[in-house]
Amino acid sequence: MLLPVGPHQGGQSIVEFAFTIGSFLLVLFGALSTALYAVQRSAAVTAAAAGVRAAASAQSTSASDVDLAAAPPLVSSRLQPVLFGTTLVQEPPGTPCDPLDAIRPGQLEVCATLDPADASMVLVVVRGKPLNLLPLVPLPWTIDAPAEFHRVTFQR
Amino acid sequence: MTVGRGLSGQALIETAITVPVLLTLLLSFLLAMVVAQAYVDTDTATSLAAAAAVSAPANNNALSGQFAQKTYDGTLRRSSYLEPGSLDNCSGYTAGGSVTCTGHATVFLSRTPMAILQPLDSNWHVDIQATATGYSSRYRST
Repeated sequence: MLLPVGPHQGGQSIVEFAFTIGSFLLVLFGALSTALYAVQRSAAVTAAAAGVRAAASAQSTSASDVDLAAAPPLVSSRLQPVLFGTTLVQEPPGTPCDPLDAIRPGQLEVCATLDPADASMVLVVVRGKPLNLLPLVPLPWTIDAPAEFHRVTFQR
Repeated sequence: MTVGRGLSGQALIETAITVPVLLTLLLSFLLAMVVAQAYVDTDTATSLAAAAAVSAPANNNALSGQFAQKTYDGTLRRSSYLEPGSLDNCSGYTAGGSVTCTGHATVFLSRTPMAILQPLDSNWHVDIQATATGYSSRYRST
């Protein structure tokens, strides 16, 4: 059965289309935002792992001391290609990262310390709030990627 | 001009179908991301554990296993929804040899916003495992 089409129905179609396209864009940008975050977080996890291996190794001048200063530059070089505008702050060796709440959006911190609970373990953490590239979908992305490794010592 | 009751009902049904489907789609993307990230975490922790196992003095089974376990637990400990499980075969380093570890972990999806996809399962989880091999330096004698 064919029904007459009036101006209200045209308006209804526009409203329906607006809802549909809005929902579609929300899902599309949500998926993109998720993908970008996944890339950044994966890079942070592997960078922290590479950093802790370097930090747990001995210093060139002392075979029994860990080299905490080696981690931040290494992590930074690994993360640089996927920062997408996020600022990366390298904390001084031995300084723990700030709590997540104290880190402003668009900033990541990398810190290398001895584990406060076990001084035989070296801890490298990448923590912060990466820049949200798609503000249309304000998902609360945060990164807190720790990597821990037993300190390595050498003897002749 | 006439708008029938059937048409407004049709729009309501269309919306009622479309919105949950899109929401499910978005949550499914997030679900896949969470599981993939959990696998990355487990794989990284297992790799570090294998490397830690071969950094212990050779032929010291207990110390090799302890180094590996502490590394594995320390790397996976911060997540609210990923719990480390057992770490198998991650000890027994001998000079010049290698150690192959298998790490297990559980992703508790019921602790994430995606839990609304499985409202009846309060213990919705996925078990994952990763395997990694650690090799020692050829220049080590012990």
